[in-house]
Amino acid sequence: MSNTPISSDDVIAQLGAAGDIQLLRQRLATWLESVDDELREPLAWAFAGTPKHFRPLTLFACHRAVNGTSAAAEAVELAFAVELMHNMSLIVDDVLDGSDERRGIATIQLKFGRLTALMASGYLVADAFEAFAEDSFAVHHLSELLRRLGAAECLQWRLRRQPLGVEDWRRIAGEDTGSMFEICAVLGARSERLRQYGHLLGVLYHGCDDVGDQRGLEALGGGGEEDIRDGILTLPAALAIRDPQIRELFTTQDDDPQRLTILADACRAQLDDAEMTLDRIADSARTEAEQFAEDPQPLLALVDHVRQLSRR
Amino acid sequence: MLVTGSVLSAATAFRVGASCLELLVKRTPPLVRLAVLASVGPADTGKAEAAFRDDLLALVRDSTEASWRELRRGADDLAVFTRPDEEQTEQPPRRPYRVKP
Repeated sequence: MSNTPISSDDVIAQLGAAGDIQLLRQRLATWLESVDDELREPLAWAFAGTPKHFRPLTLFACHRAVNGTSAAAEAVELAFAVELMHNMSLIVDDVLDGSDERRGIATIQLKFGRLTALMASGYLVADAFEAFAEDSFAVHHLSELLRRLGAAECLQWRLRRQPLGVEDWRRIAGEDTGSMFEICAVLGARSERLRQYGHLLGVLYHGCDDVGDQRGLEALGGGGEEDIRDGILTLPAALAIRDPQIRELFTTQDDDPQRLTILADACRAQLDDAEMTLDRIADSARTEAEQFAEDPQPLLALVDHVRQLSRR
Repeated sequence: MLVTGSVLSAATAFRVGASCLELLVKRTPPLVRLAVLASVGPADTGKAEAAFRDDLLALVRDSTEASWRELRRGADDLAVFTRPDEEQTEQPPRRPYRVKP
């Protein structure tokens, strides 16, 4: 287990995607110059901080795994659209959660207000669709993504403080983060071949995020305390609430600090089991890559990097 | 193509069965242990019950995923084995008849 912090740019370079990500950043910069003056500052703020770019990395890796070459202009354009969609979902998340911080800086809603945040999210969706208006394959899959993200948010909120289990967590993770990575894989490969790989990678990312938060580390942003307070079913929580006493505390709704401390400790006690669950998911993703990619190396490297996120 | 399809279907069915059987063999003993603990265990029956539910659902999901993976693999194999020869596709297109001058 290594505690050496690795920057996002190091990960991107190790995955051999520095050129592709550079093209994506240029595309984002050009786009920001063209947006409406009224929303330029908040939209620029949405892309500030230190994004990890794991979604476009997935798209580029799947493109390379199928075509054997670096991303074409078309793939960069699709990655650009995916980044707009992803940032839209982050803005909406922050509004719903009332979050003050994202990627180490103030959230848009805190800095510019809720109305601006919501309007900026709508602007992002509109420009994402316009980016590939002529590409019906992409329109179809981005529409699927938008529908699934909306339903997943409702599902996650409805299932708060419910005495559920690891498989229920997988369902939530699969529809929330999994759907985004799934669509990145489909768009990158321009086929359904790597959809399940993308799904598993997304579930893995979601789980590593849960565990990383619980470890109280900054690697993925956010913190485990908010999830515990809101009764969100994270992977460590799903394992911890197998214990009937912890389950009862989890399903209670109050701000009792003692209850939250007991829950946090119980979740921390499950980290080893959570890591084992993540190892199994990573193995499934590797099997998918080996079986369905012409060149599985970029996909395997991506699984390894995502898997490390819970340990930093 | 009929022979290839039949052979590959049989192979795929065998692989689906084998992968599900492998999962069952590997996962059933701990599941039975959890079932016993959940039913007649001295303590922690609630915990064992929850773990049993998780593991049972995981077994079902893993079996469906393995079957789905093998079916997709079978479809891929069928596509590969029934693909026309490259030499044939590389031949220049021929006109089936000549237009009279």
